[in-house]
Amino acid sequence: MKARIGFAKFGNMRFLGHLDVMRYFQHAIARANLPIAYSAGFHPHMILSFAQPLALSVTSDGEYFDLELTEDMEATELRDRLDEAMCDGFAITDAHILPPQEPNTKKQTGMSQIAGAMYLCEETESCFGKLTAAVEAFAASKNATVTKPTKNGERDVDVRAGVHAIAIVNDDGTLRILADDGVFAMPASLTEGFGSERSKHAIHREDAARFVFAVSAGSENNISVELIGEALCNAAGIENGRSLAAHRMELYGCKDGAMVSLLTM
Amino acid sequence: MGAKLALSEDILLTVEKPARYIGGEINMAIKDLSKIDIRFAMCFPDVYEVGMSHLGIQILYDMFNRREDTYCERVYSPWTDLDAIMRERHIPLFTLETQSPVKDFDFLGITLQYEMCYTNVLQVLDLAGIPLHAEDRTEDDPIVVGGGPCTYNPEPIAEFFDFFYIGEGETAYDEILDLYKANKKRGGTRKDFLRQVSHIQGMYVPSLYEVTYKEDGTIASFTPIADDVPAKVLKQVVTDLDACVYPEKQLLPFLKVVQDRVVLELQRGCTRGCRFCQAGMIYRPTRERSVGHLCDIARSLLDTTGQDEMNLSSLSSSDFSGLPELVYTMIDECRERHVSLSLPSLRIDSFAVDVMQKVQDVNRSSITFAPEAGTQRMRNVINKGLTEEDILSGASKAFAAGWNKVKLYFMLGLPTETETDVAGIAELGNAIAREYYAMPKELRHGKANVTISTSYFIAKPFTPFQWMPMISKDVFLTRQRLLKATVQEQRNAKSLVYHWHDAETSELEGIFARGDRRLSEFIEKAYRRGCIYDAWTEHFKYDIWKELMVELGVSVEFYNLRERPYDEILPWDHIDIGVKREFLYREYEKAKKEIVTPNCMKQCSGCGAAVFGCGICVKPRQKDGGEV
Repeated sequence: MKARIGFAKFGNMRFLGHLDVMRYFQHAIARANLPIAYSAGFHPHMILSFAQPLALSVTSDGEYFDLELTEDMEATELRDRLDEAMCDGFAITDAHILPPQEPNTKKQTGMSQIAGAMYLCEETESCFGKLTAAVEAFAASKNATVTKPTKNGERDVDVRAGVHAIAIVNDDGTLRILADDGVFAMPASLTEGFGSERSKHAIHREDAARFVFAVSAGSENNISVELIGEALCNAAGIENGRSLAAHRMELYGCKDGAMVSLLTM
Repeated sequence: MGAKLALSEDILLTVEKPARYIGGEINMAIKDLSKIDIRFAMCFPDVYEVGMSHLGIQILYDMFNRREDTYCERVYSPWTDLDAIMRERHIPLFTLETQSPVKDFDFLGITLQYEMCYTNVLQVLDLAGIPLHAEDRTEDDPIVVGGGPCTYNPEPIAEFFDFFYIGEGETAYDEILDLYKANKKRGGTRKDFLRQVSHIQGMYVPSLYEVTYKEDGTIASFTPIADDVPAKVLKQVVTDLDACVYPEKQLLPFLKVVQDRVVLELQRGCTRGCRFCQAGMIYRPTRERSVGHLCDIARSLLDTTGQDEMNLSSLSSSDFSGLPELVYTMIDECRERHVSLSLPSLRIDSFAVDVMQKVQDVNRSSITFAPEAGTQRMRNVINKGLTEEDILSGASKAFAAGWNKVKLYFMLGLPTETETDVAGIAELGNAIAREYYAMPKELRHGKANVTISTSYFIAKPFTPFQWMPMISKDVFLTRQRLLKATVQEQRNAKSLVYHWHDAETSELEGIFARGDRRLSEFIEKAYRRGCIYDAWTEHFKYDIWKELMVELGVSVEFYNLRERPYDEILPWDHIDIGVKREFLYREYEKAKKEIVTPNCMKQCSGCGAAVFGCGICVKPRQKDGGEV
């Protein structure tokens, strides 16, 4: 049986790198004594597949990994047992049993399904009060080119095309949409419904301006928060540095042209 | 969300591996500070990944935190990148659990596992804002206590510690902490407390002893300053390992650490009596845990950590009487749990080959021997009860079972070593390769791969070699070159690889190992000039140490290269490990005559450890007609 686990990573655990997060979950699955499946060979490893690495210092309410079990289990039991093995800074939010793979189809992992991500960002101390105008300018622009380091040197990429929706978070938590091409269903506010659920573990410093970005993600066109931050710095004439503190709200897959939560893909 | 971090987001995103500094690991103790009387900061003075690999800290951490009135937190040496930032921005050293300044604690306990960490001890004190010298500390500073193997000769760092706990940590800390609380309640001073501590067995308070020196630099007298301070400090010993605390929930780091596995300590001590080995003397008598107790601990460790590897730890696992029972029980349980089992320090015989075939990947792993010396004569001198026949038959069993990689460990510069002994190392390597090629071709898997490693013999306190001279760095290098050339001359040279150690670190380690109180200036000055992480080759600054040796007159000749006469007062003579000085000297003389001493399982040699009345000392031996 395959299942997809949704989890949150927050607090001090935002300083754990991706490899350490994977190790952490391997140990947690063993502590929870789940009937996890192992690969064959002399050095068997747990069959786990993580959706998308989270950069250091980014918190999240929308992380996923897939696991394979040797026995059937109820989704709620799976979620609760794993959640009990969590330490401060991690929480299991969902478990979803995946349908069996149809014969003669390509294996679908969480990673290969990723098409989009939504981030709640806020300006860092060094950019205090400067970023709102930059975001407005960025939203109004047609393109924004930044230099991206690649395996073979550097490459200029247009960040703007991969950003599908941009919003400023008002003081009362409602969203003022600056741009939206309709690919994502944007939340109305951070205090109700999806918005509050998915911004639960974000770190917020009083008076810092906050924004929501819905972007392309995954293997085809991955727009990271760092790239957006760089584009904003360029737009605002801020010396390049870390301008955005980020929180991932959700990861998405693409179904019939629309973005749907990775959990139910 | 965890404790409020001591370091800012910007700093944590600048330094390498920020997870070193955030705490919050699985099984970390969390306590309400308002209900705590004693705050104890436990330090391993090296980087997090090294410190977190140490079992001793896990044991003490668990033990302290079982006390309701005490909160034990951890602190490690910040890596060099953070070290620089902390100095520049005046950030005080903090603990991982509550991220609070170390200076606010009642105690700072520092474990001293190897001599090359001494400058890191000063780094920790300095970054914490605690005066380096015990005499300069006030009532506001933590009591700085040292423990671990280096405390068997703590003299080079004696001035930096308020007291040393000599011996095993599980036994006397309750008494010490109760004393501390009572003293505080009475309004007693730091001095009052230290005086009272000196009355507890195993506690050495350096400031209560006076040392005078002769003109030739040797010690003239070493005496307590008052009648109530004991002239000899007898080490602490756990008499029943089954009855003593063992952490059933070991801390599980997020980072991949050096020892990335749970550790099961089978026994303490070693019966073999190798004459160069300090651990073999200071941990006497050998005491075992029962197999039943070990299985219970093992299950609980695996349940509470989820680790996928377990290490059975001991100085000489093969001598553990319950090993087959334990291993065969645990192999099956571990397989079910997908946990791999590692058994270092196993003597290679049929049992070992069988076990290793079950727990290791024959194609990837290697088998290890530590003959320590290349000829039988030399092995008799060091009392290493391993014959060439043992090694060759062990190797051929392993070869027949599918292995083709062998690792061999030796020492260069052992007392009485000749060129024949050095060449013997290469010849032994060759003989092992020959065993491999003697097998029919269809049983072989490619080339044999025999790795020879040599280290520089360092004479250690509380060994029969404590009076012996070491060889100089130049002689050491000459012997290394000789060995290298001899390896190349061997018939199977293509199957042999020779690795060697750098000599400079070992020279300094030798000075510290048998050094005296006058070395504290040397260590402090080296630290002030930028030496830290001396145990790390890439950070070891030999030039600074060399420069200071000349400047301060620290003589390699005096500390390392001379033979010490029997009547010389050694800097560690006031410490009593149970094993008698006379026994060590007897062994020293037997070494010179190449006479071996049987190991404790066969016969008692009357070393003196029987004074503790436990372990192997109270078991019947072969010679008494009893079972072994």
